[in-house]
Amino acid sequence: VKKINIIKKFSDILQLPYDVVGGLPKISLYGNCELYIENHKGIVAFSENLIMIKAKKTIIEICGNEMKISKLSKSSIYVKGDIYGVVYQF
Amino acid sequence: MRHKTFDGKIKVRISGADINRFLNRCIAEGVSLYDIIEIDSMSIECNIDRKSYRNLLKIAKKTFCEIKKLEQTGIIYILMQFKYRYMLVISVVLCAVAIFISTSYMWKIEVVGCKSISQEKILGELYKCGVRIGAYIPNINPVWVKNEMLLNMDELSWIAVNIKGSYAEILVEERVKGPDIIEENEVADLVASKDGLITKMNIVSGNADVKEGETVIKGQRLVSGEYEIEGLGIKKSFSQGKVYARTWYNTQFVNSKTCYLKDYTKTSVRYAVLLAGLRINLYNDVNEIYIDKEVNYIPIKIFGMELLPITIIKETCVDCILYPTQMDEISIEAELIKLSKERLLSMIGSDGEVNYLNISKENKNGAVCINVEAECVEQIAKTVENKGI
Repeated sequence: VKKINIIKKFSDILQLPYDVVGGLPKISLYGNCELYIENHKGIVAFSENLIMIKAKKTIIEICGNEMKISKLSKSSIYVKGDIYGVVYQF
Repeated sequence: MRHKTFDGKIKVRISGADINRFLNRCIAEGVSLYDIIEIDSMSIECNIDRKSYRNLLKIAKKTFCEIKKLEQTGIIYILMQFKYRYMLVISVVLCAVAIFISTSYMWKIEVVGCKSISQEKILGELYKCGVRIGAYIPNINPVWVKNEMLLNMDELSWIAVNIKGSYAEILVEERVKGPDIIEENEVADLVASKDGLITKMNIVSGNADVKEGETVIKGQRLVSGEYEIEGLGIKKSFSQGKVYARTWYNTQFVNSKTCYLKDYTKTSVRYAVLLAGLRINLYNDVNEIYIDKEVNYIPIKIFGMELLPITIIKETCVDCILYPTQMDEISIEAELIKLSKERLLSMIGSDGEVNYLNISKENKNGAVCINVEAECVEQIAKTVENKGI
């Protein structure tokens, strides 16, 4: 937590984007049907109702129905389907 | 999303105890997966690029997963289907080459705007200029052809050569002949073109040498272009005017009673192909003595359009023998009278008229003889160069 705070302060001083400096995941949610995640660390669980994605210091839990991973690459994951919620697990 | 239409993509089913490990391994190796769908807790379906398939097999081996190929899509897979169909590929390539080459040659020529000049005459002149069916189009220079045609054909006042692909459209405008230009500085007389008795004189310029009621002979001067006026000296002019005179004709038309008719013996049909101006006969040579021939040109049409430079020539040949026969005297007489009237009208011109016509018939040595006596009124003056007073 201390390290994150130092990085946060550093990015604030230098006015740099926090996700770039800290390597934090960047999540874009389009309505409740499309979700785009950058800076992920891999997949923890995958099913059509639950997708768990590992990110820096957290696991992102996506709940929904008839979900599929439209694109899976080293830098990003693109999820499509009926998304009910996004939960962070620390 | 990327659409690998050309490279191709493969739909696979991956089964294994730890699918998540497989997916994370793919992420680590940089293998992109598309449209991942869960089938059950131990298997998924996804699309991958054709080039990534080998890497995917390695990852599956490492993560103890099984891969099953479900579907292959993309142009490359369609092309690969023709890998062993050599003849089909060669035929397609040859067709493409043939179409490409044939577009460099003239397939059709159309002449638009002909009224009094025949299309055949224009096509003949175009042929001399190198514009013909089967000609190599890059060798045709439309501007040169246009200039050459205008030089060769006085009947044309304007021509355009439009080459549209393998089709040449020749637009022509015929020359309208203007009236004869009278050189007012020249001196000319009017002389009689036939013997006759003058009935009427309309003199526009010049001095009349004869009067109405006088008899003139062929070549006699009627109106003089050079004459003397008392007190003013010699005046010169280009004589113009019309002189009408009574003229007489006495002609004879003879026709034999014997004529030759055709006796048709045998009919045969033969074909030839006209391919881009080159005629290919589909028959052996036959004796063409006493043959009546009917030729039909049948162009090959696709969807009602003449797209190909191929024409089928159908020749219906009829063998016949000429044999002599005696014609009906009445029909010969009618034919001769008709001919004599036509000849008379052509001699007196459009403004002449026939006052008296006497036609008599006689038989002479087995032939029908028609004697025509006619009295007409016609214009007899013609312009000639002045030869002095």
